[in-house]
Amino acid sequence: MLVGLVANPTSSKDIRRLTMLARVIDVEEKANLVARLLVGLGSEPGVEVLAIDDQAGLMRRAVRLAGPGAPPFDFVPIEIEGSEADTRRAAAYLAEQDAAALITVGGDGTVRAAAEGWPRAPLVPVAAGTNNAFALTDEPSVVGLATAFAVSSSSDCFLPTTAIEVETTEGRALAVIDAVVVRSHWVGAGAIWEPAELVEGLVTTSRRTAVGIASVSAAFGPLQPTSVRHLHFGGNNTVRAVFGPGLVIDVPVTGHIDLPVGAEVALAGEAGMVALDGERRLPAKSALVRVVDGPRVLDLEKALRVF
Amino acid sequence: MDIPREDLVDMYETMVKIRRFEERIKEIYFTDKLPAFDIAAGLIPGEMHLAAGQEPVAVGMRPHLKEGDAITATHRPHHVAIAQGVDLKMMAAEIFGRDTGLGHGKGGHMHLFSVQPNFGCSGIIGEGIPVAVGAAMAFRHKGSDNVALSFFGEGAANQGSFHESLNLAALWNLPVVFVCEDNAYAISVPKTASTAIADNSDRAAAYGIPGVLVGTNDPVAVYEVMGEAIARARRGEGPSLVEIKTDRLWGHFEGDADAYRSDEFKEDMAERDPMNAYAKLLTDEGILNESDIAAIQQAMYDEVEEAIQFAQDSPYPEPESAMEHVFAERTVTL
Amino acid sequence: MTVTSGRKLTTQKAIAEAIALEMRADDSVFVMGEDIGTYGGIFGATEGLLDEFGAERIIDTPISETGFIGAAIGAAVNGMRPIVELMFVDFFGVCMDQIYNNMAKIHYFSGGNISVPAVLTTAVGGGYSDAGQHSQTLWGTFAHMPGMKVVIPSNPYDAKGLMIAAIRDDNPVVYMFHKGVLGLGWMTPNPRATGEVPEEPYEVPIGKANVIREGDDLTITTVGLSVHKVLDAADALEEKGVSAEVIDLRSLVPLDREAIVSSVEKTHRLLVVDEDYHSFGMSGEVITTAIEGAFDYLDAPPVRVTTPDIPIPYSRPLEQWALPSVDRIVEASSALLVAG
Repeated sequence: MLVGLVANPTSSKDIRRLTMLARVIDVEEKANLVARLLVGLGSEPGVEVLAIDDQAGLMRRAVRLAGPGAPPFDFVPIEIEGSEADTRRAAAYLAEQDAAALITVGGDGTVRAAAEGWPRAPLVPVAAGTNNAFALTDEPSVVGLATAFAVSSSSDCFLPTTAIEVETTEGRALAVIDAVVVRSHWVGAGAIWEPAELVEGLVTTSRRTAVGIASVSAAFGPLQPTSVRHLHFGGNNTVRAVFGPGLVIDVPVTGHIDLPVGAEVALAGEAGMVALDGERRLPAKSALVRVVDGPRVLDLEKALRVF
Repeated sequence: MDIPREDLVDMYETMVKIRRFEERIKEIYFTDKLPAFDIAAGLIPGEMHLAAGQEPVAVGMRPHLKEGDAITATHRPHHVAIAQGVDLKMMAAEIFGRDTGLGHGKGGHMHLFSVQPNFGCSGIIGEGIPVAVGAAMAFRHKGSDNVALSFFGEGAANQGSFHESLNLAALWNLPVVFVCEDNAYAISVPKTASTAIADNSDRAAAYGIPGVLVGTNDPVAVYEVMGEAIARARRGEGPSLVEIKTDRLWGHFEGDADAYRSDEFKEDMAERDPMNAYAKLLTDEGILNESDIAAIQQAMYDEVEEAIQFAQDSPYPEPESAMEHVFAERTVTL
Repeated sequence: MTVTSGRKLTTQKAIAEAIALEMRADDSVFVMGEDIGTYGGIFGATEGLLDEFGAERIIDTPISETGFIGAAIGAAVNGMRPIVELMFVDFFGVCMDQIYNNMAKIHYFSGGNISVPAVLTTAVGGGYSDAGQHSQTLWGTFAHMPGMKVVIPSNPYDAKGLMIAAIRDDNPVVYMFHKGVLGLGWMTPNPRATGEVPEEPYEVPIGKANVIREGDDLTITTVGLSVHKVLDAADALEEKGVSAEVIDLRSLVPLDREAIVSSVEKTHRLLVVDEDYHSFGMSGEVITTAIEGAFDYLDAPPVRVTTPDIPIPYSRPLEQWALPSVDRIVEASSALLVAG
C-alpha cells in the first residue's frame, strides 16, 4: 500500500518565535520525528513510502536515522523549489498515484498546502509546527503504526472535514482551518499576531483545545461537523482566546454565524489580505469564499482498534 | 501591522542606491584592469566583494535603527553600510584609496569605519561578531537603549567566534541582533558541504536565544522580522539570531569565474532578482507607479554618480602619511 | 624615582591598586577575563576589585578569548576603557586575530577616527616548571606587529605606574606581567618582587627605559624577571671590579632606542638578556638598534643570553639550563669584557 509523506523543514522557525512564545523545531528534531513515523509504518508489511525531498535534507536524515526499521522508500519524482509549491505538487502527484494515505509533518500551513494539492486527501497530519490546530500531536511511532493499520484495513479509518475554498483575482486556494481577512497588505513574514489586524474570517473548527482563530471560535460554542463559522472582528466585546503559543489575549468579536457546506461569502475586499491557516497569502480584493468538503483525516483510535 | 508607505518607499530607494553603487564599482573595477586581469592595476586595486542581490537583508533593518546603534559587517560590506547611512562620498573615496576616504585610504573596501553612523567591517571571517557583543555591553553600561547588529555569512557560522559570541550575548542578556546572510556559498564551498545542520537559525537554540528563519529574499519579510528582533533587544529582552536566505548574484569576488555554481542556479537567481520583485510588489500595490520608479532611479543614480565623481576627483594621500594613525594621541591626562 | 611613603607592596598588589585607583576615577574603566572576579585573578592582578566594584564592572567570563577580547574591542570603540585579561600569553593562539588584526588596526584603518583604548593584560614567563604551554614570554611576537604598545614591568613601582599609564592611553596596550616578579606567595620567594609604592596615582611613561644602575664597563639590558637576574649578576660583577650599566627597557613598543644607543656610546659593550626565544625577537632588535645607532662606539660584537629555540622543557634541570640565569649572565659579561 502506498503512503505519501510530505515533511516541511521550514515549519516552526518563523517570526512567531519573537512575537509570542513559539518554539523552534529544528530540522534534526523533525528528522527524529519522521524517523519514528517511519519505524511505525515499517512495522506492518506491505507499506511503501513515497516522500518529498527537500533542500534541508530532512527526509534523508530521517531515513538514515530510522535505519532498517523504515519501510521501502523512494522520493516523489518532482523538482524541488524550496517553497510550499513543492508540497502542493507532491500532494497532487500522490493523488494521481492513488496513495492510500498522505502524511504531512509540519504546522497548519503544511497541511493546507498538501490539501491544496489533493483536496480530498486521506490525511494523516503530524504536528511539527507553531500552530497545530489541525494536526495530531501523538507519538509519531503510534501514528505511523496506526497509518499502516488504516491503509491495510478494509474499514474506512478516515473522518470527513470541512474546508474553505478561497477565490480571488489571483486564483484559487484552500484553507483547512481558517481564512481571515487582515489589515496588512503584505505577505512579509507571513504570520499574524495582533488581534487589531483581524477584520473577518471563516473557521472550520471550534475545538476548545485548539489554538488560533479556532480558539476564538470556541468561545461561541461547538460547531456542527459540516459547518463553518463566519466571524466578524472588532467592536467593544471581546472573547478570551489562546491566539498562539503563550499568547492568551482578548480578541474583539462583533458577531458570528454558522454556514453549511455549499455556502458562499464575499469578504471585505478593501481591507487588505486573506490569511490562510494563519499565514498572509492573497489580496482580499474581490475575494470569494466557499465552504466545501475538505480532506479526510485519520481517526487514530479507530485505526488502532482495527487490528 | 501595516507598514508605513514611507518605509516601503525608503527601502526601495535604498535598494536602488545599493544596486547602482555596486554596478558602478564593478564597472570601474574592471575598466582599467583588462585585457589581462591585473588585480593591482586601476582605480580600484585589490579585491572587491559586491553585494548585488543581497540588498533586502540590509534595507529591512533600516527603518528600525536609531542614532548610535552599532553595526559590524563583513568583507562584503557595501549594502549594510549604505543602508545604515554611511557617508556615500567618503565610502567611495575610501574604496578609491583617496585621502578624503573614511580612513584616508588606509583601510579600503574591506575595512570601512564610520563614527556616525556607528559602522565597522572586517576582512576576517567572524571577526566583527564579538565586537558587536562589546558594543552592546557599552550601551548597557551607559543605560542607553541602543542595539548592536552583527552581519555575517553562513560560512562564518562555523567559525569559533560565532559560537563564543552567541554564548556571551545570551549569558549576559545583551542587546545584540545576530544577522546571518545565507547566500548558500562561502566562496565556492556550498553550505551543504560545510554545515552539519540544515539551518543556522536552529543553532540559536544551542545558546538559549530565539532563532528565526526568513526563507525569502524579501525586504518586507526582513523588515518585519528585524523590526521584532531589534525592538525586543531595545526593550532589554536580549539577543536573537535572524537567518535570511538571500542571493549573491555575482561571484564571491570580482574576477571570480564562478564556475562552481551551475548556470541553472544562476538563472534561477536572476529570475528572483529582488530589485524586480520588490518593484513589482510596490507597483502592484499602487505604492509606486512607473514614473515614481523612474524618478527614484534617476535620483539614486545621480547620488551614486556624485559620490563616484567625488572619489575620482579626490587627491591620493601623501605617501609618507602611511606612517600616521598607527597610534592615537593621548586624550586622558594625569 | 623618589618614593617617600615607605609603604611596600608586591608587584601583584601594585597592579591591583593601579586598576582600583583608575576605576574609582573613571566609570568607563572595567575589567573582564577568566577568574578575574571572585578569584581576584589567577596571578592576583585584580585582587579585591570585585568586592569594591561589583560584578557589573569586574566581569568573570567563560573560556571564550576570541569572544571576550572581541567584546572588549567593541566596548572600547564605544566609549569604555576595558582591561581584558588573557590569562597566560601562551593562549594567544586561540584569539590572536582579535588582538593583532582587529584591536591593533582599527585606529589605522579608520584613518585615526576611531580609537581602541583597551589594555590587554597577560601573564608571561617561566622558571617554575609550568612547561611548554604555560611558560613563554612571547613579547617578541607581540612587539613585532604594528598597532599595539607593549609594556613589561619588572618591579612594583613600575607596575603601578605603567598600568595607570596604560589605562589612560587611548591606544591598545599589551601589559605583560612576568609571573616571577609578582611576589606571589606560592612561587619561589623573590625579594625584588616587593618594593616601595606611593599611594597616590602616578604614571610611568610608556616608551621610556629606566637606567636602574649606572656603570661604565658594559651595558646590560632586558625586561621582566631577567631584570632581577641582571641586577644579581651586576652585584657579582661588582665584586670582581666590573661596573655594569643596567637598563630596564620597560616598554618594547615604543622601544626607547635612544637609551640603548646612549648607553652603548658610553660603555662600548652590550649584552642583551632575553627570556623569549633566541631567534627573530627582542634580543635581535636591541642589538640591531645598537649597531645602527652606535656602531663606531662598539668595542666588541654585542652578545645575548636568551632562551634557545626550543619548547620550554618541564624537568627542572632542563628548564633551569634553558632559561637565562645569573651564572650565564655573569659568564657572558666576563667574556664580553675580554672580547674585541
